[in-house]
Amino acid sequence: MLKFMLACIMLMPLVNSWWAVQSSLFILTFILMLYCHHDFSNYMAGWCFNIDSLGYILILLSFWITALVVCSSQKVLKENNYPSLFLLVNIFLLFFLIMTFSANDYLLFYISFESSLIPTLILILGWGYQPERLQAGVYMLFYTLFASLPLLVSLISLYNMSGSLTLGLVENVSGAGFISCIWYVVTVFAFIVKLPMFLVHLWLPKAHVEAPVAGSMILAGVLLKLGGYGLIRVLPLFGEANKNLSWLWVSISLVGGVVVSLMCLRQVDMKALIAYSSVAHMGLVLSGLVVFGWWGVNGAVVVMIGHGLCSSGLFCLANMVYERIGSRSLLISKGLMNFMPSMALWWFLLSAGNMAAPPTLNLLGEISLIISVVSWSKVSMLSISLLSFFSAAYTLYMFSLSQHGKYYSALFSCCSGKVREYLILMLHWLPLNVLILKGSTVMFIL
Amino acid sequence: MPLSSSQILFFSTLMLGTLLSISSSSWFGAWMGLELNLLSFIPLISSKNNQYSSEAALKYFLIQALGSSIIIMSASFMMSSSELATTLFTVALLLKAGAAPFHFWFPSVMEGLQWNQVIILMTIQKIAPLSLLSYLLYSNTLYIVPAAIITSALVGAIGGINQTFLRKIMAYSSINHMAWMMSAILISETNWLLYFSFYCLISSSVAILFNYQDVFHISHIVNHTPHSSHMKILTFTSLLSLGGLPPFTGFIPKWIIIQEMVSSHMFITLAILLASALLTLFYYLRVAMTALTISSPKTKWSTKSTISSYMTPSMIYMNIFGLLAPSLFTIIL
Repeated sequence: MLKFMLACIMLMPLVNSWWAVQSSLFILTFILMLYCHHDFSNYMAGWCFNIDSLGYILILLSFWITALVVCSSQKVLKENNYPSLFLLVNIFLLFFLIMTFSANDYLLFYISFESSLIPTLILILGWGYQPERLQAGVYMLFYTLFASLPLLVSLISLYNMSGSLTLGLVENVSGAGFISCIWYVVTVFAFIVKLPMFLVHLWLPKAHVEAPVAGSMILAGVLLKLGGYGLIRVLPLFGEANKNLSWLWVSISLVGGVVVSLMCLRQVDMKALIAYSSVAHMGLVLSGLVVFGWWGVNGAVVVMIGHGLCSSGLFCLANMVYERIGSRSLLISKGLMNFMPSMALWWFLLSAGNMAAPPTLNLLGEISLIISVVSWSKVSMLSISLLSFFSAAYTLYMFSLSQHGKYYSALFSCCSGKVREYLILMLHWLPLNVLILKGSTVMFIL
Repeated sequence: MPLSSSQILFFSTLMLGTLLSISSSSWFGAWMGLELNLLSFIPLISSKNNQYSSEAALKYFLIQALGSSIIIMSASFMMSSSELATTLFTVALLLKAGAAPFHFWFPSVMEGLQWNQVIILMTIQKIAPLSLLSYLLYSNTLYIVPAAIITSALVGAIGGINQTFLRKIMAYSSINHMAWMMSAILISETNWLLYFSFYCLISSSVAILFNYQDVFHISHIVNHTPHSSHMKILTFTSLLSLGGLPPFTGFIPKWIIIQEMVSSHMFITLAILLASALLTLFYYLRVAMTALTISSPKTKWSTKSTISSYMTPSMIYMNIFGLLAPSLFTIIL
């Protein structure tokens, strides 16, 4: 794995040339794609780092999203808003993400998991648009840190118990007594906040709304997936405690998902709407993970990948509108089909992805998640059906309000889309819809 | 800063006092070292140009003299009732080190000092009391030290939130770090040494940066930050390093202490320490915020300072990327 990390480090001296970084990121993505299949479960192994198929697909996602982030933040270059520093921060973030997904040691995983917070904070504070970004940054940092400092204590306790923190060598925490349950909650809570589950999701909409497009894209695309990835890694250690407590997470996230979907239906802020929709989707991922089924885990991985591509694309679209109209409000940026007719197609295609319509990856994932959660408890059918209904409802609401209807009379004209922008959207949409043709790259990889 | 000859003299006697007290074999010798240390710090901090410094010097003298007199008094009790003597010793050393609940002098003395004297007060002046404290872990003091740990953690965390003066913020952060150091003392000398060396490195590099930019108040930072945006981010990530966020050097000592505390089952103290670390991070972040917002509004009269010396950037880099060079801290261990 070191070759890709070194490649990232070698990109850092290149930050003065935007094009060099951007094209190298794409080239690196393609090189990484060559490693898609391997006969052995863990490969590219070295000191402390190796990847399995799950890590591989998430690293690929991070490379992909970072390349697209650089591509879509062209405005930073154009306005000369510290472009080289911007690239440096992005490369650091990518570096820490690669470390996180390829670490084969829990402590290294923890350190890089936390480290990815700092570049994100700098992105939000440095290139965000409004003064409220300070509050958003602090919210994000403290929500995540509050939950993850106990995780460190728990990991070190695991080390004391089993003498190693290497993935797969750590002993399981047996029993479901008081101590094991506390230990379990402390361990998973960091990831649950990162995911985020309903009730601890408050940092997410704030961070998304205030972040620049790069921040939102990478936050929705990869950083939320860190939570899911961490859960996949730690949950097997706490089998019995998880069995006793999974009802809590499933019910909070499913019912919370419905509530959040209702909140989406009354949003007028485009970015906040997309952010809340991530909370709803991630709720389903969380319940798929904690019910401990084969279908659930695999569906969760698929939804993580699908949602990463799709919501990142939607944030990209929202930003394109913001760059032209100067507002994220759906009351001002309405009837956009009149201004950007071809962009409306992309709005439609990515919205279809967000409501898990066929043939997107989200559909594949959500079907498996629904199977898994329903087989765990029949009662969950009620909230799952509401959840999928409302997810279609709020996506349609966003699509129709932004594209159809009368446009705001203060608007005169704007550029209907550049090749670069169509390319970015295409590169979001294509993997989302094409990967399903070879679902084995993302499904049943664990 | 060019040193005058008298400052060189007093600085060397200050070091001599510290060395004398940590290496003496009797409490009387330790007391002598502490006194020497105290009396040579006073001329170092008082200056004619600044009226606050003489106030600080006076406060420092009174408090430290009180501490020293308690020590010499309890040294004479040592023969008759050692329990009373060790208790008094511990209290006096906590007072001298500026740990809560005997911390009230510390922020107000810090406020009157220049940044380079602040560095001495935060680092060198802690060596003697803390290492003497590590000799005193008898059964009767084992109730005092944990209590001091908890109060220092809380006072350092909560006290700093309300401050806008950078030196006071550094003082409260120092009190909070004292809590970590005392827990390290409870575990082992090596841990204390490790934590202390890292604390010295980080806090003095932060103080050197503040000294370089000549800032004493949060609002000064807006006007005085160096113009290069890289430098700005580096500068204030060192504050996050002081807070102990993972990718930075400040995480290493915290990690070691957490690991040792977990293995000796000090979970309650650890929980308080971690909670207080979050609060301290909040006020570091408040200081750092103006720099992290890269294009923040500036006044017309903001000075352009460029860092010319090589020492400051190298200290910052050491401060930030320590975790990438693990051999750095195996030397200390």
